Amino acid sequence: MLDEDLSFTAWIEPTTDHKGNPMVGTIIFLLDSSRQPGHCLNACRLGSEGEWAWDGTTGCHDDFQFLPEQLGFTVLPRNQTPEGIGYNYDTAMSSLVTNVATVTVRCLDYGGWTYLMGYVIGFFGEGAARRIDAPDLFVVDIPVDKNENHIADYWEDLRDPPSRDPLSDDEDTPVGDGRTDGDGLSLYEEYRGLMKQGRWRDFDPWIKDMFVTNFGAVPRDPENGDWSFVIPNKAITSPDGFIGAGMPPLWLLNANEGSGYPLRVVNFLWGYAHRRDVYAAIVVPSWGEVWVYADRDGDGQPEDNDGDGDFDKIIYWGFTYGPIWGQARRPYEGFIPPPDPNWGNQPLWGPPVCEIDMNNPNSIGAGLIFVVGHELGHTVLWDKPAYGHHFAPSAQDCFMFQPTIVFWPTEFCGANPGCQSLWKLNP
Amino acid sequence: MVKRIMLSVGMVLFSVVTVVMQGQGLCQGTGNPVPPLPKQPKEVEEQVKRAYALFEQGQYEAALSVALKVHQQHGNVMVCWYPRWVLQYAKGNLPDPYDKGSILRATVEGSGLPIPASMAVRAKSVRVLIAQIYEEIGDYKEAIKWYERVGPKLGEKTVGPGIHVSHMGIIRCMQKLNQGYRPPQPPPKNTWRPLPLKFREEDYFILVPLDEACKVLGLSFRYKVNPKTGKRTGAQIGEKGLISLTGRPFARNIKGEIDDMAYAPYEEGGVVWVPFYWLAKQAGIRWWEVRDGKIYVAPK
Repeated sequence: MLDEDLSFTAWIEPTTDHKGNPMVGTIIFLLDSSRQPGHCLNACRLGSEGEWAWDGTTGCHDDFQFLPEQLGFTVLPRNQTPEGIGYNYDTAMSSLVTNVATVTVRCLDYGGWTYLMGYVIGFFGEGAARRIDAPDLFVVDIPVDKNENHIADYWEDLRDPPSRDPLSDDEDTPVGDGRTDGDGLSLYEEYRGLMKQGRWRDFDPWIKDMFVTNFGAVPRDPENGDWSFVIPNKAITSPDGFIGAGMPPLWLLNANEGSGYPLRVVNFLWGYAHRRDVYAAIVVPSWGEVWVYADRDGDGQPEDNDGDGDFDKIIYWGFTYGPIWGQARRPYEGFIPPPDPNWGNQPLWGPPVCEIDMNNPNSIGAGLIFVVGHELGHTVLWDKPAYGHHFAPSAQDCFMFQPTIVFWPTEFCGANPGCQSLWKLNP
Repeated sequence: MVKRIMLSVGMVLFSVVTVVMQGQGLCQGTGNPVPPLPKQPKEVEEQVKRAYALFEQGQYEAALSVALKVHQQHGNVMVCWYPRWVLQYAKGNLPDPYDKGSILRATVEGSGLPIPASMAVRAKSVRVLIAQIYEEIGDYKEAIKWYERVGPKLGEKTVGPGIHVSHMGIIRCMQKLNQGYRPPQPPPKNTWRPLPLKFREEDYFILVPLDEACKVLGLSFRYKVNPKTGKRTGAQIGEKGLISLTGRPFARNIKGEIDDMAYAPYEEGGVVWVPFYWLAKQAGIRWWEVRDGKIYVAPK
């Protein structure tokens, strides 16, 4: 865990030699640490005393370091800035000769690992420390990691993933695009975790995760005390994420918890065991009409069916440009054939953007929740026929209704406007 | 000689620590996912802006007349523009309003505007506008015809993953037809009276000075002032109404409900200019028009 301190003690046995002289010497601890960029998949900090101060978490900083100020120790940095500020404290020597010393190590990365070794140099010679739990070993792995995949055994035992290969990505729930090959985050990345609205969390390696960034999370009128958002976060997620049958856990991220455009990558500070970039869906409020060119014949070119000399446009309440899963692996290749050939090609295949027309009289309030929910459904069900639209038993119990028979689900009309349990993404 | 050092492994305490995030830029593809719309001639732009402003201000007959003429002459054009109040707050170059890809980028990467860049742009297609005007007038059969021209029709194969404005419009109109709903009609114009109120026109919106207008309309109001800067940041209208003077068209009506403006108010030379249609609505005035250089209002 970030900023967690761990203490380790080394001592010399026996305390006296056969002549009765005390067995004392200079005890030296050494660290050999990982150096991942940032301290999790989407967050990085500078040091508390400037860019290169020792407790920064950039890719130049060791993920485990000795606390620089420790009573009874001289702690040495491996690097220092031109101004003389040290960082990467990987050597700690007892200031005086002693027969016991306790050193403190700080963790600076949620997915970091390190090897700790201890030595002693005394009048009697020198030697390396053995572990009390495994006397034939001279190195302590932090965290405990018997299979040496750089994932803490504690976490693996807790989550019991389908595979312990750090590169594996074996989630199969929900089915989503019909494939079972995960959500893009490797097992190690699920373990290393990321910041979600300012709080770190890890992820379940059995369940596909979905990330959303709300660019409508802008206070309406903060100078006059109206801090409500243009697109309320509740239009995207309840406090526990989507709770409907078949829904993936959906994690709402702050705008700066992803990086890049047009694809907002959530694991942009990747290092060890990285499979691919994972994207957040982007929710964007619009005050103009949400439009795309029509291409019903699927030839990859917009068309002018009404013969007015201008390309036909389709005007939407809300529209999704691209998928989270499935074709998110190749998101930006211009005209890409859709899953259902009857649907025609779209020139807008691309980043998973949900654009919402805020100027529509029914978009505010419960209607907004409905529209945002529907569009987010498309980002997951992109590869399904009709992009996930389906005929529900009743049009009142599913966000992903077939649009031609749309009527508001009654729950969104008043009885329980905040309810999102009507998601049924796997009909 | 025995030389043995033992290490005892410390207990691991798990805790979640909140830290300030420092984002690191990462280059992504920079292509434009959306081909820009064709730019329209200035004259067409102005006509559509005028029809849009008339529609938003409740001048439906006049709006319809302008919009139908544009459609007759230029077909189903779509016009995109930045309202003048947006340009006042723009600190740098704004993206081309016809280029959706650039607007999305500015929305995600920041534009310096007080609102998301995607909300600063107005985009209006003439057919949707005509359909909406017919719907507001209460001619639902004609509105359905125009929504169907916007397409797709109900039951017709749809294109792309989204919720179509045409479907929603058709369903709404069908419901109103089935309910036999008729919007209220204005009283005879000889009962309308002029208001002693000066006004200015901007982007075809009628703006009035807040102080004078509230007095004339019988609305109570008080300015909200930033105590540190002494500048006005907004105004409270009645008990619960709220308008912003910081470059945002977001507003709450006198019931405290969200009731955003089609044109943002602003302060200039100590005078706060507010869209008249919005204030009139708060005062319970449903119909009004500008005639002979004066604002005429229907009786409440």
